[in-house]
Amino acid sequence: MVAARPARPRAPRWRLESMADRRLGRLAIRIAALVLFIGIWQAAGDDSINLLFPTFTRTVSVWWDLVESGVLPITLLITNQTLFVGFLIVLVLGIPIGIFTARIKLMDKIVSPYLTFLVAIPMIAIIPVIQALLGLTFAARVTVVVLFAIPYVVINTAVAVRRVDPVLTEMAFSFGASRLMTLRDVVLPAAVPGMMAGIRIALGQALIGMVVAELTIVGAGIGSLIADLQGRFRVAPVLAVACSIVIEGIILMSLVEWIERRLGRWSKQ
Amino acid sequence: MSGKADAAISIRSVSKYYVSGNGKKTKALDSVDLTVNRGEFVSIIGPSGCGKTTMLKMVGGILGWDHGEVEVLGKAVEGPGPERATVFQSFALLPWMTVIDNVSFGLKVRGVAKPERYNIARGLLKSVGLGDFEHAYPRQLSGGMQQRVGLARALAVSPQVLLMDEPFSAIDAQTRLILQTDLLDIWSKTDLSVLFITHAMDEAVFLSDKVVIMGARPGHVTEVIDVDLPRPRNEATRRDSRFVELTGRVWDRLRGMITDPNADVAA
Repeated sequence: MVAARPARPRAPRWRLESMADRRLGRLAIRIAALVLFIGIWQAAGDDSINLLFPTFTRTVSVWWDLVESGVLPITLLITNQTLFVGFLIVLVLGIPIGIFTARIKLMDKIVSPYLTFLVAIPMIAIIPVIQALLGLTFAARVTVVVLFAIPYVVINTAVAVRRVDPVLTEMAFSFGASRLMTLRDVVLPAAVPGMMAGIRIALGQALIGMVVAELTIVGAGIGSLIADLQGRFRVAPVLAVACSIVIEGIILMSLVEWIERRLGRWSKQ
Repeated sequence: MSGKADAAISIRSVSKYYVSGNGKKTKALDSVDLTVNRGEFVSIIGPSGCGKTTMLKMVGGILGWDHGEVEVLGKAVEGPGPERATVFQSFALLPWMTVIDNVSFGLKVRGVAKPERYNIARGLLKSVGLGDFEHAYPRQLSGGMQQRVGLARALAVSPQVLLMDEPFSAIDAQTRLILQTDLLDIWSKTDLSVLFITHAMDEAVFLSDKVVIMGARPGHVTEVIDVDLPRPRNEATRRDSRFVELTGRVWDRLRGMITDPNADVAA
């Protein structure tokens, strides 16, 4: 029946490893690490001149000023439009392309070189090309996000679809399932954990792409805010803005991981 | 031996070639003849590479062949059909589906509505002894229980011909004996014709009316042994001297092929 947990030798309570085995212990360790990090940050910071690396408390107060004045919420909103539209395109195009790449040889031959190209070259190098094509527009920024993220969705989807146990598709075929039915009821569900892993990596890439697009293709959003603040040597606000992106990234990643865990529960153990 | 009308499965002088990567043609099956009469339980046993699973897949409509004829219930096989169902060696359960959804998979494919297919599935789960596990997931079950689900899924589409591809080979020896008895119990209440592939000699003899012994390189039928043990068969059957004798006969034929791989090449 349900597999029993492997027996663990009893360890004294105060050991760090035994703490990590408990939920509460893990939380305590995490909080302690965060407090330590903030403490070091606070100690390393110097608030005597604005040019120097700011303390944690100054960063927080500057961050709050940016929030209160409405600058940060508006720029975040603009930036996230790029991310949202870009990532939506990544999913809507990437997953079907991945499936077709796995199932149709010709498609694989056509798509694969471009994927290799997209993964292998530093994306920042082709941003001028995109800018020349599309100008300083929303479309240009979205294109950058898509190019950053889409290879990971396509490749992981294709691999996941290819790795579906052939016995399962044979089983479906033997019961008279059509190709479409087999795809919907057997291949896709079996490929979900692999696809989700690709989507998680792609999200990280999309976040990078989003900021890079705004830093290089001057237009709007967080990137141009950072560029502007940097130009005026305002280090603390730059750090505050950067931290906002980091926090957003952590939240979005946790969300995707949570979905991944829920959808992939059956594949564990 | 029997008229055409009585045959559930009829394989007549079937040959099959495999083309390997370098374009070389290898004969996998050489003019094989095999008949499974209606309601009969027939096992195929033979060394690895003798093509026994290939034969089962041909009958299932999953693999094609090059010469000869394969018929099920008097109709030429052209692909999978509703009168046949397969039980797989590795169970082939869908791990993201509960037991009851797995059992009703074949019915779903055929467009049976959910309440009705659950009804049928529940009845079958009870008959394979898994009445309390309909909401469990496959990974929560032992191998033996998973194969009971596989059997229930095959029976759910009410087939007339059941194809079993080494169904118990991944299951421990004790559970296996119990599954064999339970399979015979279920089969005896139906008029199913069964084609059963196995590596285990005692299993073949215990279950079958006929044991077909196959040789390899290329695959061919060496001998058909009629098993005249009375039914219903039970634990006493395993101690019957006739059972021991028949198992010995199967082993004698197989042993020759294993010790001298060239001794049995068809002329």
